Amino acid sequence: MELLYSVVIAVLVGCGMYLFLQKTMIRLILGAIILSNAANLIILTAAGLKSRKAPIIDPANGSLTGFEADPLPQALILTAIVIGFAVIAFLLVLSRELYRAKGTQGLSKMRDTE
Amino acid sequence: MNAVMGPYIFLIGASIACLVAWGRVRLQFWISCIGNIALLASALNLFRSVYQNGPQSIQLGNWPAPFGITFAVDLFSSMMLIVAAILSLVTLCFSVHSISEQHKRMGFYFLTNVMLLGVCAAFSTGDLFNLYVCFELLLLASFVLLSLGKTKQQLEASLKYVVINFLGSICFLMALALIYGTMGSLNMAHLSLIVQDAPIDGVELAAAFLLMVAFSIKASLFPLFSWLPASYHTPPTIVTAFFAGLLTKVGAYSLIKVFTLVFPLNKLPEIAWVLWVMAILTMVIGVLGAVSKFTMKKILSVHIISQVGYIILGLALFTPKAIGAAVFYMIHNIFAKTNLFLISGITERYLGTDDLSRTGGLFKLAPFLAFLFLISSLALAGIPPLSGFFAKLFIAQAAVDLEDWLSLLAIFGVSVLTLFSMIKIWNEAFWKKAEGPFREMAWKESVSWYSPVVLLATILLLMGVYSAELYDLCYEAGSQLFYPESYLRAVLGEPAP
Repeated sequence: MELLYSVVIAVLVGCGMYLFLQKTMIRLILGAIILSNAANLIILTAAGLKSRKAPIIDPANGSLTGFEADPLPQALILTAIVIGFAVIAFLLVLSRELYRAKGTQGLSKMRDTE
Repeated sequence: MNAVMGPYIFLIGASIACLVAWGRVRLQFWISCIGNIALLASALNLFRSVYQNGPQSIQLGNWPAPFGITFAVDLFSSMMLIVAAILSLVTLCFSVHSISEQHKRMGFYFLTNVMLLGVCAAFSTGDLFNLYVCFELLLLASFVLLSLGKTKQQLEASLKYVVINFLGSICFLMALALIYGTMGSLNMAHLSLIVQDAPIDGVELAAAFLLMVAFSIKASLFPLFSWLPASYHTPPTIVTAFFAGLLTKVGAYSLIKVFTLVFPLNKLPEIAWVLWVMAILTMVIGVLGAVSKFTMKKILSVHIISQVGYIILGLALFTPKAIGAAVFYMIHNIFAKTNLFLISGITERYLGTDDLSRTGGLFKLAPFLAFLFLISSLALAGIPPLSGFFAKLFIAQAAVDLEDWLSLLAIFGVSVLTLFSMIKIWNEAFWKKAEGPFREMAWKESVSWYSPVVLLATILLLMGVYSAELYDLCYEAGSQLFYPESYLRAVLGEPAP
């Protein structure tokens, strides 16, 4: 399972990076979306992909048994998704404004501030 | 209430209050003033208790250390908090006349408060994932601040800034995933304990490199700095001054914190070597880049890069003395750089431009400004008895201790070139004959323009005069970072393992 996920992540990062290096804004943003999802998948995979019980303490037992899943990676991913969403939303608005101001979405035309 | 939480409570309060008072600029201004004065007071209070009792920490929700979210403040963090508070007050005072009413209406004060919140939280969090969240908070606020006003230049600059910083955040996130996967924790103190017992190789090494790349992007180190000269000169001067003072320094702060506490560089000679090479190249290339520019703000922006190189050189040399020197350098640089940007703002106000081919005559027209510029620029270049001289001297001493002659050469060579570009600004803006019209300002207006600059120049002078005392403090901060036992005890509880 880990191997499959690793391959998927590798493909995603590859696609994301390829799009990220293209010369139009919209492809760059698509690349950004794919990259941020790949990073989230890495968190999920690195923390372990085993099917385990939900980490809820059994009242009869009083403690965890050691066979429960770790809930922290999901919490981390949730936070990362929200943050990624905010950045992507900003990027989209920015690209629209930039398109209005410059009349192009070619990144090779953006050389005015160097 | 725990002293550690003080600064954030006031900043969160100020941010929310500004949001509620949307559109009412004067009210927002006063709310920010109150919030920032409270921030300064609580930072001073925190500094006092850290100075007396060692590092302080708080566990949110009362979960014990490796499980809950930790905020922990050592001497270095508390000093940076004070610096951030002073800087934000200065920004606030300067903003009264230097940006347009329309700009303020679009939420300038709200955004500066949020950004400051991110910066202060990044300075004191004890958890790597939390550091990521703080970074994103301050970056998002800075994205909006940078593009506020929506001129063509600003939008284009924002795109470059956002894209490269986004890539840095992705690297950071990947590093966190690897660290959590292999080491099972994200609490910095806990990680420090785990790393003490085990060799760092394989996945941990990869994670450390990813972290280094992520922070180097934010700190604008050598191969990763291209976003900075392309974006920092476009927004209103006050925004640039605020960014120049705080943003790259947060990157440098995180590099110092992570590579002393979590991944100590003496266990990672590869990264120490890479950082050393990057620091030297950053210093040299940054200063050479500045030579080629011809507007005040562009020269100063490119200079930020070269100055960050000095700080990271202190980290890469990795002795308590060198880290202490890096802390001293960072504080000096924040004040000197911000002050120079503020002066470029005043120049722009007087002459309507900061393009050096069209400025001139300020030595006659505004002699006091010339005097202030002289202090700040000589401090930046490192002329005794100003702060920059001692900052460079301490780093040079650390390099001599290690018999690292190449660093020594770079330190002196780069400061000569720094002086060269400062002289260029002096010649073109102050010394040569006036080119265009000079717009006077009323006495009342000049208070808000000049008082921040005077304050910062005074701090630079005092840092030179009391350099021995301040250096002792920085040395202690450096040794706290180098020998993190007291920090670990503050976070993980009394029975120090």
